[in-house]
Amino acid sequence: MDRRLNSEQLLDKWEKRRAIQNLMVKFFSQDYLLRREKDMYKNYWSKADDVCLAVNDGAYKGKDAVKGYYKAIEERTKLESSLIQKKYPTRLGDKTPEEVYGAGIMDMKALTAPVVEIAGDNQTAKGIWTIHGMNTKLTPGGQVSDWERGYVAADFVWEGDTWKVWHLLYVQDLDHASGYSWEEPEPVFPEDPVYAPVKEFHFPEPNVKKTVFEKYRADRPLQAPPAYPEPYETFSETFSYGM
Amino acid sequence: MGKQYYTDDELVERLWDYEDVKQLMAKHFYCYAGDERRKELNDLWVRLPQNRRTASLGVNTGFYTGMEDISNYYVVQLSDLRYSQLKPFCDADPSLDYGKNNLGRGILNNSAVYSPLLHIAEDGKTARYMCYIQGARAVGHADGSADCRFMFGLVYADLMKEQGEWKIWHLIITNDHAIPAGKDYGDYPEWKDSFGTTGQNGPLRVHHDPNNSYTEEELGTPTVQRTVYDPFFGWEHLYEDMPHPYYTLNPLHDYGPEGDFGMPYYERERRNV
Repeated sequence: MDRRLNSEQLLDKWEKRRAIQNLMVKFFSQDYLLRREKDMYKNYWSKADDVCLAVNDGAYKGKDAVKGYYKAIEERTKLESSLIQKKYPTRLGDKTPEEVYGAGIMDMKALTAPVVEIAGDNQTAKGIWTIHGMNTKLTPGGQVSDWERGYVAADFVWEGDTWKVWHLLYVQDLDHASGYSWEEPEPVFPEDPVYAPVKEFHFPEPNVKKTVFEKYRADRPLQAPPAYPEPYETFSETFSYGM
Repeated sequence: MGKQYYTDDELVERLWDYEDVKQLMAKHFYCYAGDERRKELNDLWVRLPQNRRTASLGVNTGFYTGMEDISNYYVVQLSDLRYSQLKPFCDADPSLDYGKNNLGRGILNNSAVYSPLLHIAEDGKTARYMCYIQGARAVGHADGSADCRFMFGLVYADLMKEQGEWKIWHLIITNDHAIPAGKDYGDYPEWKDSFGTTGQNGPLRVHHDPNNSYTEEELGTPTVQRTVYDPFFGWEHLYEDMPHPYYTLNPLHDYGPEGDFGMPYYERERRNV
């Protein structure tokens, strides 16, 4: 608690912190699960030119790159949905592409252990969460369930009357098929001709290529979680989760 | 809504107490995941000498008491373990430096923290916290294999406000059974025959222990040795130990070695007599 502040200011700061928590639950847990990728950039990201979304093997830096990341998720979901529709014609065959969007795929990212700091000047904020995810991926061999473990950390900026994501760091310790030990290669199942087109889909490479965080393997060097934020007065005093 | 005898300013302070304690415990889990235990002891634990003397860290087999014993176990013993885990990698690859920069090779320690239960004392001086851990833990080997486990446990803490800042005073990390990743829960190893269960909740073993999150030697030799948590009994003895609303901390029931944490009800009754 910042003892320089009076009770009214402390309550305002508490509400700002709560707003960050709510934003991240909507953005990272709800909207991934509910397949809202086409609106994620518009709804949650800052208008700043230097927005950045860093993942394990690099960063999508700048508006176009971040938009492209979500566009790719949208395109992949459309493809996956259409293939799953073909696989299950009785149940899904009569549905439009909009109606079938997201069928058979789950991205559930539960967030725990939040540490959030609002800057003393109230213009920016920082936070980190642990991800406990249970996801489904469509592979040429069919739908595969994955365990996901990792971290999401972000810098936020106050725009108008709300928080927006400025820099996001989304890194995975694990993103591995369930039922297999984590040091083992991902299982490859016999190809199903219906699902074969999914192997032609390629996610856009990060425009900043850099090993940000290594996924688990038996000889992985220690990967500490991203640093948690400490109280700070203004953004120039602290570190950035951007690249 | 707080008690009527709190002023608005006091209620705001209590609101922030809850925030600060939750964040403090979250920071513990980030330090724990990254083997940043020296930083944790320095930054997150009590600092005043009288509190450092009575600080404690509970594990299944007892309590480490005082910051020196806590540090020797929590930091130094872990460092020794990490060196022993690094050695085979360096033997297999002589170009790999057998030094502190390579400690933690092959290690994964990710703790998802759920269901926190937290009460701030009405006197505002202490807080009591409990949460569930669903962890993912792996220890890699130089031959490319790894011991990968889902691990479970409950974490308890007494926290103390020191000079306006919340600090960890007593911490208990219980370790329950573990499930090897990629193995069928029903195929659980040896306890199936011995105890007629599906295998979890066996007594701790030394060296490799397929049933528990930690081996006996990993839990070390606590300063005060007593059963704090026995996975064989599950968590039934801990019902009384969850935080409840309270006015001020009673040392007979705190999460330190003087408290009755983890005792069966009949031992608690004997103590009360």
